[in-house]
Amino acid sequence: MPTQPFFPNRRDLLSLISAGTISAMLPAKVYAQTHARIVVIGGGFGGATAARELKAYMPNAQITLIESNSVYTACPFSNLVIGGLRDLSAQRFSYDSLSASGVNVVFDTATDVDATTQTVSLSSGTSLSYDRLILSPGISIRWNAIEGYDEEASAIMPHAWKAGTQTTVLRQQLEALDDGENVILTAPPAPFRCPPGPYERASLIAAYLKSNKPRSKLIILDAKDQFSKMPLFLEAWAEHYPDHLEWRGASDDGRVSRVSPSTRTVHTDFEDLSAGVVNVIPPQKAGTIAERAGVTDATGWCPIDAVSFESKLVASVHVIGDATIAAPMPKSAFSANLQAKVCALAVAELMSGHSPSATTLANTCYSYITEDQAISIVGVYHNEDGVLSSVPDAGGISPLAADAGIRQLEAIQAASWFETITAEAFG
Amino acid sequence: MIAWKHATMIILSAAVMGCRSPVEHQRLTPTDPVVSDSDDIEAIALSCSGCHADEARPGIPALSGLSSGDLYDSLSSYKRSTDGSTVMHRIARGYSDEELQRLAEHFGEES
Ligand SMILES: Cc1cc2nc3c(=O)[nH]c(=O)nc-3n(C[C@H](O)[C@H](O)[C@H](O)COP(=O)(O)OP(=O)(O)OC[C@H]3O[C@@H](n4cnc5c(N)ncnc54)[C@H](O)[C@@H]3O)c2cc1C
Repeated sequence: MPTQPFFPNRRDLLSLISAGTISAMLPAKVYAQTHARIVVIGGGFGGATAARELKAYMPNAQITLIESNSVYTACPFSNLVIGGLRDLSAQRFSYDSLSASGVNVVFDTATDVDATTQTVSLSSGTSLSYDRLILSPGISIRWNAIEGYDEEASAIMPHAWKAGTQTTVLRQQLEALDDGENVILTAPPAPFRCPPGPYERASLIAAYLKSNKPRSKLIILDAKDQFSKMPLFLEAWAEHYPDHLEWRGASDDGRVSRVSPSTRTVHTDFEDLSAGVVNVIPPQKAGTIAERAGVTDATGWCPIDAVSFESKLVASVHVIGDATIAAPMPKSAFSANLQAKVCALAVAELMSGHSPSATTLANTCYSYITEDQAISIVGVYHNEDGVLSSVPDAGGISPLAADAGIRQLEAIQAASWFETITAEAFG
Repeated sequence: MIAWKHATMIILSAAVMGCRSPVEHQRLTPTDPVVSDSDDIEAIALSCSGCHADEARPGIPALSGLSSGDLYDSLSSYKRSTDGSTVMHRIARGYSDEELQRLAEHFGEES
């Protein structure tokens, strides 16, 4: 690697590190006059961030967050749990700090939205009125899109695409696997939550097999021929897992159309394959409350104006995170967090009689390829006229054929990113 | 073992793009709203706090104690470098020189 002229020397660097924390405190915009009632549904990376930022921008507004579970289990880094490298408890976050910041956190499930009367119904029987509603419900699984893959089947063939019990089931199945038995991972068609996620998971399962079940092997059956960070993953697999990981794309009969849970068999067009563990990552759509609110289109996802993240279908309802149609921005925790911040600012402006303007957004996603090496993908986006587009010549993936030091540093950065993003959302 | 030059790159990349969320900001007296030229740069800066916290973390330090001039030099060096080994090289290319200058003024200290 050539030495770059702008790298600081060791002494500069040390003074830079010891420089301390925030010094120049610039005032942020605060819209104190509005007493608006804002309801946020879903306390994940999008919704928890949105609620926090809305309260900061509008300290006198009434911000209510509706979330089904009192503890959030984060998906990012859950592939490390599946690989046996991390405890699930490190994935859990409470809403205490959000409550302390003045957000009214309600543990309940939103069952319906009436856009005409601007009310949300909760499963407890109560209802809430809103001036603006923000939906960040994440994904729901398209049960039976793969024939035979329903909720019952997911107890035997876990998806682990929502972290929690499913993550533990998959981990335990891998632990119980006999050496020599194979693992199958099925990857879904786009769009889906976390485009590089299935391949990060495959890498970490292969790493586990290589050290613990050396006669076993992971086979990825993919509904696609191309996937995120593909050249980097293929390079890593050839280097680290030549005997423990095999990828089959759609044109190589990789698409699974049916499953038989009782025999742990998956069916492609031409073949039936059985394995000791089958991880089905199924096709997905926006969280079901989005459908109830009328903000989904025929694709099952939510079209939005990407300046304000207001629904294109229902006024005064905003949608952020995985549920949106935001391509080329991926469905990631980073995107959900940033969309929440952009949306919160836009809602504060709208509630105060101003109109939000277009800006520049970015996304960074790290994926582990081994226990201590990671790769990244970056995108920079404009949202002019409410439409997201990639900024030309920016973004891209980590360099190919890089030495281990570069990969190890991206793994260190990934861990720091997780600390920061979870603190942004959950405090 | 991680090579020192790599660590250097990471530290620098982290240092130049630190950002703050409005939550952490000092509050103005409650008069609505503060409209200034910094309006749109504040929105652009929202991307940064996805990685950069107020405190340093391994590989991603806080942005603090740097002058606007040094920040701009670093950002612009990332943008111009053909090396893509850190995320910052690939991010900086997405911003105009003017945006980088204003981000540097937004986060940096007056020199
Ligand atoms: C294995 C895996 C690895 C990943 N790794 C990364 C990564 O490294 N980096 C990254 O950036 N992203 C990663 N992701 C993606 C990330 O998890 C999602 O993009 C992110 O969680 C999206 O946030 P969200 O707010 O849209 O949805 P979620 O975080 O899923 O939050 C939705 C919340 O809404 C609640 N909810 C839904 N409906 C209702 C209702 N009707 N009433 C009340 N509450 C409701 C749910 O309980 C949930 O808490 C990964 C995902 C997976 C599966």
